[in-house]
Amino acid sequence: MDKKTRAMMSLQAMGPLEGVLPTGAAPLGPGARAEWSGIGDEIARADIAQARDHSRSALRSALPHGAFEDSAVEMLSGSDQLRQQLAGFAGAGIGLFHASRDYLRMSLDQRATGGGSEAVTRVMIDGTRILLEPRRIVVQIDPLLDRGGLAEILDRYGLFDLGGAGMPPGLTRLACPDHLATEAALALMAEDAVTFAEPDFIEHIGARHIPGDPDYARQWHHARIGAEAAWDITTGEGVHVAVIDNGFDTAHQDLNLGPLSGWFRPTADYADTDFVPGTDGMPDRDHGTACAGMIAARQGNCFGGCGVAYGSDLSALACIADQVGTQSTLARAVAYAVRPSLEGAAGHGADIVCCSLGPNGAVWRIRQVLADALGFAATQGRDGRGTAVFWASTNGNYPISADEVCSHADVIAVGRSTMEDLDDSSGFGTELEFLVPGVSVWLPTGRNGHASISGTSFAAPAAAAVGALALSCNPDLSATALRETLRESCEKIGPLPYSQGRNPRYGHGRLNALNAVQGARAAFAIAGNDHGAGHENA
Amino acid sequence: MLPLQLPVTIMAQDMKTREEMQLRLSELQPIDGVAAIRASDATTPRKIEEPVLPDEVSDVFGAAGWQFIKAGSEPEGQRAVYRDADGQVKIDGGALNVRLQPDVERAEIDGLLDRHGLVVRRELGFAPNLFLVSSAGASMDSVSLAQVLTSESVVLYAEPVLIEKIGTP
Repeated sequence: MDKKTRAMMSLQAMGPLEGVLPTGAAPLGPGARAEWSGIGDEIARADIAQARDHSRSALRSALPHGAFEDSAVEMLSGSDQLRQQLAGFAGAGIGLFHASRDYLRMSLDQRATGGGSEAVTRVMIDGTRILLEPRRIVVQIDPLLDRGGLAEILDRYGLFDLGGAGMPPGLTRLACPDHLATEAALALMAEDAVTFAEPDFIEHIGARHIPGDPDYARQWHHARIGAEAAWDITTGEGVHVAVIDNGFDTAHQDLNLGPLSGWFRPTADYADTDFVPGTDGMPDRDHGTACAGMIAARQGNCFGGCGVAYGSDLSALACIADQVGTQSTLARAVAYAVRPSLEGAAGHGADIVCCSLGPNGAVWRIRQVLADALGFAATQGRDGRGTAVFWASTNGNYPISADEVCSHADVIAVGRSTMEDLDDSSGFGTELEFLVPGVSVWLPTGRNGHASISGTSFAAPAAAAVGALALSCNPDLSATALRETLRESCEKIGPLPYSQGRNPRYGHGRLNALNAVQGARAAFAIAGNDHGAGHENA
Repeated sequence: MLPLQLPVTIMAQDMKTREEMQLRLSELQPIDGVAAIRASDATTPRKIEEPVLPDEVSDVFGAAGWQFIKAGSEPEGQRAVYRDADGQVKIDGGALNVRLQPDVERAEIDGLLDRHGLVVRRELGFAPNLFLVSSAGASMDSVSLAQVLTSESVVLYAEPVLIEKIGTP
């Protein structure tokens, strides 16, 4: 996806908070500044009732009589991210309020004389980001465009060049006195000579929420895939991931296993297995514990690190505990994850399935029963939208095509990348979807421990977790569309060239969680869904 | 004619032709002279004199409670051992996965299975008329039986349940 398309989709994904405006940013007297600072403190500690009452008082002082209906504190206090920004604005002496109809009819200049902002036309919401829309646009123009061509474009859209002073090379600011900046930026991007355009939003850039878990600093993979930036938008809430493995440490402090968890116990003749719901008696294995932890290890519990989608729901399905078993059992595990009633259990199926099991060696014949289960997931999962299935590719430097499970059309085959953002010689070929960190990653292991471990086994659940982050922003995404969103999110790492977006060693590249989330949100907006306040984290 | 409720994509992408299924079954080559038994069932545990299976194979299956023995050396419980086209050693699980045309009634299915000495063990609900079946009496040669069943016109496929290494590579 090129920069212009990404910029257009990003702008289309956001929307205005109808009727909400900011107070002016004019210098405040010491009394007013202290008042707003106090309101900011109240918002920051979630003392919303006090903040609302005090902001009403401050707004009455700042604005003309009848200018506002109410403070916007209550409406915008639904999540940590929103409160942090509100508090930041208040600390800068800016209050957000629901404007009266009469006030909304005023021009910006008229508002400015009465305590409002002359610079901000609207308050926009982009997921959990509050953006004040000014009458300015930042643009990147084709450097080959001559001055006459630029003047022609500016004239066509009623824009004025403010110059690029203080901007990164190649960028310049334009004034748009007669248009709303977001619409003007979108219209401007119809020009071939415009690489991208976006409003010069005013926003609160606070300290990014970095998990305070004691081992978080060891988990280099989060920063590498842009998970921290993605967490500003979502941590995977509302998405259910099922991980299939030989066993799990169900008592691990860093794991919170959901109600779909269960295990398959061999029958006496080993021709079949019985499904046992719950975690009692579930085999305890390091490998599955690590896979589960990569997806959703708890955040904020003062233990270990955290999972890539730590806000998602996680269920553990254990089968083939001794690493010798049947593909029939594996098929039943996949199918159960999609539709629990197949094993007599209640509840909805998982949204995403992840598995890192396979034979020794890179060659694996698939049994038709497992192919049927994978097809079932793809076509019947999630009420027909499909359940995405992620699988670890071979760890060896072999073609994935030799593994009929990983190369199945309905399986997303994941390889591993390193801290240096290079491939690590895991499976390759046209069947490789993308790379995700899977070398020396710090994860939960058995006996309530943690360790640095390597393998495609841990890259696959990381990819599944990124899928969960994306689905959290757009639950209507089909499995096919999710796969495409993840492909397009990838960064093109490595020294080798990509052809039509792919390389046999890297697949589509190394997954990027922020791009995936933004792509999912943009698709949500394009589908004609409500802009609103987006998905708010609790 | 395809039944309306059958997802076409499954048929188009996943279902192998009858010939392909037969070919896959023929690729399961018995390892002559070798059988597998649960170590707990062996009356006289011993390994075959000339090792034809690498230690890494014996060790993996051994850790899961399986032992490779000389074929015929135990009175009961021994199972055929195969090498599949993927090079992996696989043990006859003593059951079959059988999928029949979706419009075949259950009574006809039971009748067909009965003619081959089989009973339904479990219905696998993720595809129409997909069953786990096993012998109603004596032990069976799963691969041969699968080949016979696959030739039945109402059978979409029949394949042996094989016990193989599926772990953490």
